[in-house]
Amino acid sequence: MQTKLIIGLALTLVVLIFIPVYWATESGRQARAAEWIKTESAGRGAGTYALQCISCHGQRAAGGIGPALRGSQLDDAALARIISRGIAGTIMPAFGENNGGVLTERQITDLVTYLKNVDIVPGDAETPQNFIPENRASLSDGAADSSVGKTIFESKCNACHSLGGGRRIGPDLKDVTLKRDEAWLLQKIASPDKLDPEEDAITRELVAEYGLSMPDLGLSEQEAAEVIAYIRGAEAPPASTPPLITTPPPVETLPAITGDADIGRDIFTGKVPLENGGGACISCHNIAGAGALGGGTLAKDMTDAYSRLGEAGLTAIIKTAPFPIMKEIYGEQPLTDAEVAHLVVYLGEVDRAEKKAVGPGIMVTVSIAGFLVVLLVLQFVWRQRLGGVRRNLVKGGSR
Amino acid sequence: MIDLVLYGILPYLTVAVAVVGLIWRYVTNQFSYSSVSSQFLENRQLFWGSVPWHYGIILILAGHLIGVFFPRSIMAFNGVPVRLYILEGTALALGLLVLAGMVFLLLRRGTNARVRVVTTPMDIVLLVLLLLQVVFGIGIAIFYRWGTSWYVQTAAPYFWSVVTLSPKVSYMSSLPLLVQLHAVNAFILVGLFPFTRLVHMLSIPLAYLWRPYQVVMWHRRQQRGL
Amino acid sequence: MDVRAQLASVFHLDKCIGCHTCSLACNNLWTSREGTEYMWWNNVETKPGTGYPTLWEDQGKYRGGWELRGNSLVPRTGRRLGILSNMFFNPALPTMDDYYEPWTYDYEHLFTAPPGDTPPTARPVSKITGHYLDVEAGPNWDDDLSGSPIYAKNDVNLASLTPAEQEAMFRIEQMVFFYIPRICNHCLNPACLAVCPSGAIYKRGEDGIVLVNQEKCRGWRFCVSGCPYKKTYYNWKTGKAEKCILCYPRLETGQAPACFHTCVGRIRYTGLLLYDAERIEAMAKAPDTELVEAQRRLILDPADPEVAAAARRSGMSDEWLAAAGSSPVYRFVKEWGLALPLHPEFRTLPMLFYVPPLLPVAASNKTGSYDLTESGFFGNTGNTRAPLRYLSALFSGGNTGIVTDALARLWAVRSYAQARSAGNISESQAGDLLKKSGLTAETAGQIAALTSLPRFNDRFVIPPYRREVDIQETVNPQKHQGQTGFGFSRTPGRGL
Repeated sequence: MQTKLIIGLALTLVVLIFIPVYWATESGRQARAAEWIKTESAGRGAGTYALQCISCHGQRAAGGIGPALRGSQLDDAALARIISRGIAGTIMPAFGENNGGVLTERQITDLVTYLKNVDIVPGDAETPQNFIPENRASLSDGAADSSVGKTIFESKCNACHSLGGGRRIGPDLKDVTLKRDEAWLLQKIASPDKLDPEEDAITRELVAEYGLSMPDLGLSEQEAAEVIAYIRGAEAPPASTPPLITTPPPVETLPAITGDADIGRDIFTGKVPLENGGGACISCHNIAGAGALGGGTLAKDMTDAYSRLGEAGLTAIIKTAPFPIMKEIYGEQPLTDAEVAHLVVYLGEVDRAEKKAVGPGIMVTVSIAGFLVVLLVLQFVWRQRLGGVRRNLVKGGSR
Repeated sequence: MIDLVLYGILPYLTVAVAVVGLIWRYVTNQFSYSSVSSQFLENRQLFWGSVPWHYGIILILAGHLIGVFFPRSIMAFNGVPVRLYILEGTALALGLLVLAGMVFLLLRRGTNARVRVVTTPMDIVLLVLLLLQVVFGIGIAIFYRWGTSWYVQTAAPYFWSVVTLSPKVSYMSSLPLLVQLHAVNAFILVGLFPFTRLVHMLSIPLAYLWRPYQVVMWHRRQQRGL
Repeated sequence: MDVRAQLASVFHLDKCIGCHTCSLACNNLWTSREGTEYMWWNNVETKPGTGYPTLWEDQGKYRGGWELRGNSLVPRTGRRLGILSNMFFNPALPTMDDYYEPWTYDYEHLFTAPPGDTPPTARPVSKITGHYLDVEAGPNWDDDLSGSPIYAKNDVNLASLTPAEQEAMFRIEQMVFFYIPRICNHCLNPACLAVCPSGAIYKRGEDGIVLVNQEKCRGWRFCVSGCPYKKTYYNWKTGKAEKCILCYPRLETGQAPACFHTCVGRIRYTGLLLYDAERIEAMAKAPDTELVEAQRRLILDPADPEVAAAARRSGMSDEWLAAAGSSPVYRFVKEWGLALPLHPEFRTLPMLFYVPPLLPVAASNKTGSYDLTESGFFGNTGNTRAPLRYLSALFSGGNTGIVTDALARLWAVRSYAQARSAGNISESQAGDLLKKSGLTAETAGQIAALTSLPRFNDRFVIPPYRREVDIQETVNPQKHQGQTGFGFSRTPGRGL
């Protein structure tokens, strides 16, 4: 009986431990499978691309007669729609079978996968056919593509860094490739967390100067290389690399929204819940004037954020949520553009107003008072409790 | 790696240990399930330890659970700063209550000769861990304030990721050290559960509320009430 | 009618000499373990006195038993929710200091003390902590009225007496006391059971013994407060409640409980009572002064064919019915109306009855014979030196009539026996007394026989349990092979 029980329990324990371990690695397995499917699909898409698209959109979708399609801001459905239906009034024809073209839906899907993941397909998958776009020559090199780098720079780096526009949250990156070693730059962009200020003198210096270290933006080494290529390109006089065909500027997805400070305040305090479900700013950020006792202290005080970060910086940071905890909370439930705009205006207004910080003192005092009140209540509720009968009796106490 | 161990494996390990341990203890030694109260030996200090502790910790644990199960409600409630402050103030006051209770309990264990006789080393370990847990909690409430709000955005989704067997380690690993200590200590307490006096929590006799006052057992007949 | 049997008892207080043999027998058998040293499942108290634990009768403090709120019977300890809300600190729990801290003596010192001018002494040592101890209380600290200015003076039952009466009671030349041995009453409406949140306490259907299931007990301690007689104890070592088990392992093998068996004064009787379980609640709700009557009404006559039929219907065997028919307890309680419950106003319907003491023993013999006239020393039971109101506070919920009747009968029986055996009382005098108390000579003879030198089998009519038959009839005996019987297969310890 005893032995059986122990064996049974041991087996249960083994199973109970096995399940989570299996599941802990399961996400990796699933990711690998998804990666494999994506690679396959992108490979097929590359073949199609080489036949149908490369003539206008350039090798590796870097742009030619038509715009650069790699790193496109359009989502999969929009891309597929455009490929299938074409764009009326331009030379972009309709490729979809349903619209008189030659591509099946499956092929279009593969094509979209490829466009979204150009880099996972080896370079030679695209066999140039009979047309080699002239602007190929303008690409700095095959490995890192500066036009992709530009897109990345504008979406991820621009918030904190300028190129010749002076210091923002972080340093001006103009000429940075001349100042810093390329390997260091690559690491700083791709995995800044690995550069410990304790060990890396440059990082230490930067942290000392700018007050915060650069967050990990989740860029791959390849993307980092592309960003560096872009920065390097920007350093050279623009005239030296005139594109033969002017690529249209990246599509501005942010329609101009005029923020409202009052709405911004309500969003900050949580009175107006965030559309995608993220928590209110006040949970973690303190700010002057919001609520009698201020905001949270898990993250930075936002009172002078506007002057520290500037409008562009704030907008980018709120949108991209690059800092560790923010990334967890807002990565999957980002703020909408309108919410960002309201917040930025609100932060600007707070910054200009008179500031006073609220420490934890009031809350602690109030809580201690509450605690004492509870003790009194306990004493009152249980005032009849027995505190010894015999000793009181013998001492001549009350009876 | 350490994060994966702490937040991806430790919670499962401790829950597994707790479940298996509890069953094992219940099956082989049900006699040991008891509140092991020492009120009989000392009752003056105990009042100021046990009552604040138990009532405080029940409310605080309930708060943690509400945050996990009804995060939207908490966010909506905290939407107005005054309500947020009331909730936080209450939570901190309860935290202080629990702290005072635990300090009383520990002092009593240490100073009363009779109570010392019925104190096992595990009792001390448990009380110290609980005291640490309370201190961490109060520290979080003071230094990383408005935890009621950010808890539902971080720990609650992490809890559900653990429950759904796909732990999102980064939720916890990106929080401040104090919060992480609070969480890891909680896991340790869960793992220790079956080997300590904490098992009395499983004996909460709610059935008493419905039971008839009298219980009669028959040697031959089916059991029936009086 | 739901007829059930209860193994009930009668203690004849006139015969108790306060020797504590019963307590020691019980202690040797059941409570000589660590954690139970302070428990006396059987103890003997001196009345007037505050008893053990101190002032146990004061329900204003200990909040035990039942009280009538409106028309519903509620445990004084609290309703269900009230009890659950007091689980972390039971406000009505006596502590060890209200009993006493058990101790032994440092005998070792007598052997190891270095040579010196004074002989070494064995100092008292706490059995709990092992530290030296200033003994300030014991299980019978106020025995024989010791410390009476504190203890006896504070007896709760004196409350109904006028200050003058109280003063008179404690005048040295009139000092009166008697002993009252107490065990668990195995009540019909037990309050310890009603307030047990774990449902660990239960009453055995067959014989009504109230037991604590040690496996299910979680140490919430409410039974200790709930029992108005303070006969449930908390084992401080194992964290479980323990109480008198009426020596059921002995009963089931046909032996009387240890305290009954060893009683030197032969004051104890045990036997079955039949009662109607359906009327328990109604009877427990009677007004204070009618509770004794209500309890008597609850007890059924085993000779009544209707009762016997109902008893058979509820599964009682003929052997048990026969045992109920010859039960001395039924005689004392119902037929003769001599035995009364202790503190019926606690409304637990205790199943241990006391024959009240006829005090004092008629010893004043100045004229050469007892003066039995109305105005005489003992002609009027109202003039007994234990005031009637004191006795009725103990035994009848304040109803002096019931106590007077019982005492009158006792006196009549005593006179009758004196007249027959010693002849110092005339037959006619005895006859008058019998007539007044409503007894026949035959009954008086029976009472005298059962009170004076009753034999073992007269005092203890234990029904045949036949547990071995039960097991063989109802379950496969193979299943019980290798079991160790009652008790534990491991040493019960505290927690893990």
